[in-house]
Amino acid sequence: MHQGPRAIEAFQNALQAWRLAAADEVDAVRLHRKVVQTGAETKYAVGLDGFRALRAAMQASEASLEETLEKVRQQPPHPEIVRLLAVLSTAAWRMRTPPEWTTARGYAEEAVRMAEILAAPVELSVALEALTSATFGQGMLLESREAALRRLAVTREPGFPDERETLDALRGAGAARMYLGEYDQAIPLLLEAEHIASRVQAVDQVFNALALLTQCWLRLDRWDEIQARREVWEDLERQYPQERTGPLCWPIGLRAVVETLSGDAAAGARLRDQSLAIMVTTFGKTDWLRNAHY
Amino acid sequence: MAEGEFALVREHLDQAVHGPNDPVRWGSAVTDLDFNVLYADAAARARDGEALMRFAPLAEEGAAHFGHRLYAAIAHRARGVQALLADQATQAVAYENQALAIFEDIGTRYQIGLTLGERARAFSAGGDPVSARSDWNRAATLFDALGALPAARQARESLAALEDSGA
Repeated sequence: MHQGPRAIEAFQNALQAWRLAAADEVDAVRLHRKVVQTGAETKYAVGLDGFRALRAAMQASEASLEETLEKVRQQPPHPEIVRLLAVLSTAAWRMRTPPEWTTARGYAEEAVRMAEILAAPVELSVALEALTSATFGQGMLLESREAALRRLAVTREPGFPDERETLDALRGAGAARMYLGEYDQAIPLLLEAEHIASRVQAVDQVFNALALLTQCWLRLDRWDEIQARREVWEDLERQYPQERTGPLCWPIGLRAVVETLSGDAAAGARLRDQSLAIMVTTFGKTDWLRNAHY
Repeated sequence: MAEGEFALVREHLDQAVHGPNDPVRWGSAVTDLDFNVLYADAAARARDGEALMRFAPLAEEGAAHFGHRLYAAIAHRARGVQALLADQATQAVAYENQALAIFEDIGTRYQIGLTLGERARAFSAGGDPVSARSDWNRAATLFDALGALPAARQARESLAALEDSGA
C-alpha cells in the first residue's frame, strides 16, 4: 500500500513484542531491516516533515543492523543477510549527506556474491537493484545498466516467484536504458511495467513507470504521447495522496515544458508553479538535491 | 532564451552540480553527463561563448563515452554555435550537419527544427542565403507539424527578416 509511517510503526510494535518473547535473532534483523528499507523508500513520498518524524526510528534500526552485520558475517550465507546488505547499501547513500557511494557499492557487491552462493533468485534481484543504484551514483552508467539488465534476466527466468521484483526490475532496466539515451529500448520495458503495475494496483510503480515514460517521450519529441496521458495523471493526482504515488513534481514539470513549447504559456506556467509547490513541500526551500534543480 | 532567463538557468545549474544526486525510482536523477549537456545547450541558446568553451567539449566527450546519441547531437549543435560565435561559419555548418544526421535518424522533430535554425544562421553568416531560407522553411514546417507554435512563429520571423534584408 506504500503507507510508510504506518508500516514503520507496526514494525516497531513487532520489535517490542520480539524483545519480550526472546524469539529468533533473524526475526529482529528482518524487522530492523524493514524499518530502514521502508523509511528509505518513502523518504520523498512523505515530505520533509514526515521524514523527520521517521528518522529517529530509522537511525536506531540502521545502527542495530550494522552491529548485527559484524556478527553474522562469520556465519554461513543466509537470504536475510543478502537483504540486510542491500538495505545497508541503500541507506549508505539515501540516508547520508553527502552520499557514501563507495560504501554502498561495497555492500551491494557483497550482497550479490552471497545471493549467487545461495542461488537465491529473489535475493539476487534485490542485491542487483542495490548494485544498479550504487554504480549509477558513482557515475558508472554502463555498469549500472549491466546490473539492471542482469536483474531483469533473473526475474524473467521461468518460475521466478516474486512479481513485485519483476515489476521493479522492468522499471529499473527501463530507467538504466533511459539514462543512456536508449529510449526506444526503454519504452517497451516501461510500458510493460506500467501494465503490470496497473493490474496489481501498485500506484507508486504506475507513477514511476509513467514518469520515466514521460521523460523518454519528451526526449524523443513525442509530445502527443505525453498529452494523451493527461487524464491518467489527473486521475492519479485526484485519487491518491503523495504518500501513495511519490512526489509528482517531476512529471508535472516535464508536462509544463510540453505545454510551454506548444504555445500554451498559461497552462505551462500553471503546471510549473504546481511542480515548484510540491518540490518545496517535499525538499524544503533550500538545500535541494541535484534532482530538484533539474 | 533571454539573458535574464539564462542567468536563472545558470544559477540553478551551478547549485545543482554541488547537490547530492539521488537515483529515485521515477528517474529525475541528474548525471554529470545530463548536467554538461544541459549547460552546453543552455549556453548555446544564450550565445554564451565562455560557457560553451567550458561545457560543449565535456558534453561531447561524455556523450561519446556513454554512446548517448541524442546528447551527442545536442553537443554537436552547441559546438556549431561555438564555431559560429568564433566566425567559423563553414565549421559551424559541418557541426550542424553532424547533429542533424543523428536527430533525423532518431526522429526528434523539435531538435531537428532547432538544428535547422542554427544551420540557417551559419549559412547566412557564410553568405549562402538560399540554403538559409530553405532551412528556415523546413524548420517552420516541422514545428507546425509538431504543434510547436512559438518556435514555428520564430522560424517564420527569421525567414521574413532574411527576405526583407534582400539576401
